[in-house]
Amino acid sequence: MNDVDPQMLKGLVTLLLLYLVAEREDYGYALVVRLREAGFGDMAEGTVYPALARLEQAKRLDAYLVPSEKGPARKYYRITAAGALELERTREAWTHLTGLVAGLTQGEPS
Amino acid sequence: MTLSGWHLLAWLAGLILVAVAATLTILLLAYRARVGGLAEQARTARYVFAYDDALQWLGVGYRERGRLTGELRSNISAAAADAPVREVLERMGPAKELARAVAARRRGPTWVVGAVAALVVIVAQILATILMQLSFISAVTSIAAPYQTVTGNVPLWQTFEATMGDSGRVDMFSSTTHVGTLIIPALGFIIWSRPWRLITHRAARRAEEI
Repeated sequence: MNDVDPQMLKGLVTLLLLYLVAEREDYGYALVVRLREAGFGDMAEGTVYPALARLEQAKRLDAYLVPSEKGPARKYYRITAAGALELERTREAWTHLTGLVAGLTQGEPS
Repeated sequence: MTLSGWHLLAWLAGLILVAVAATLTILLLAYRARVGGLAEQARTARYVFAYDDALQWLGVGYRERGRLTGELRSNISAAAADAPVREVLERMGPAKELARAVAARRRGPTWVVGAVAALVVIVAQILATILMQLSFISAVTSIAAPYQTVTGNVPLWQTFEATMGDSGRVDMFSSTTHVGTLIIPALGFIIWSRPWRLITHRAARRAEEI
């Protein structure tokens, strides 16, 4: 698989996290694992955790604690109404952008 | 040194050792995650402590810090099931940078930093006052005549008064501290604690919620 530029990923982390949480409520490390399984192997915890904190702060995600047998309680995230709107808006923007980039770069450079 | 002196020294050393051990144990229990052996728990505790400390210096409140460190500990516990703790911590990057990234939009006033700054200023002021008093007494001793009373004043700080005795030494010395002395520590506290963040922080949060 081709390597993905980490700088590009940073711009996409909000979209990816909102999408994953909308799909299934989860906690920080589990989201990192799901991203890796989806092929984003370069997505480090140091990028994901601050992004989750920002999304929670901005009320795009809501959090609740679930007791864990393996240690401290886990903080699960679920998407809020504002988060769902943001996800929709970001997905549309991303689709539009990829369409533009594809349209421009599909031909051979002259 | 007498025997009792050695006893006192041994007792003090023992007390310091116990205090250090107790502090380390408390830190380990407060910041550890359920990972591997003692060395890995200590490594995790050190990382989480550094993260908590950085959050505190960045002005994140006590409760919020508790929530953030709790989340970090649970994530480390979960990740440690898949990889060695050392690798898990490396992937998260330096604790300070992680704290800075997490706290980017949560920065409130840094009361602790302000208090430390004020304390440093107060200690510096006490040292400066002692130096001034010693210089004043020395000057009075060298120039004043017997039974003469000399007054010195440092604006907004202190007023000194010394009376010479007949043996060439200062017989009586008094000093009065002015309220103005508090201005500098107060300024230090305000500048370093950044209370205006109470306003900007709330405004930023409100803007994000809209």
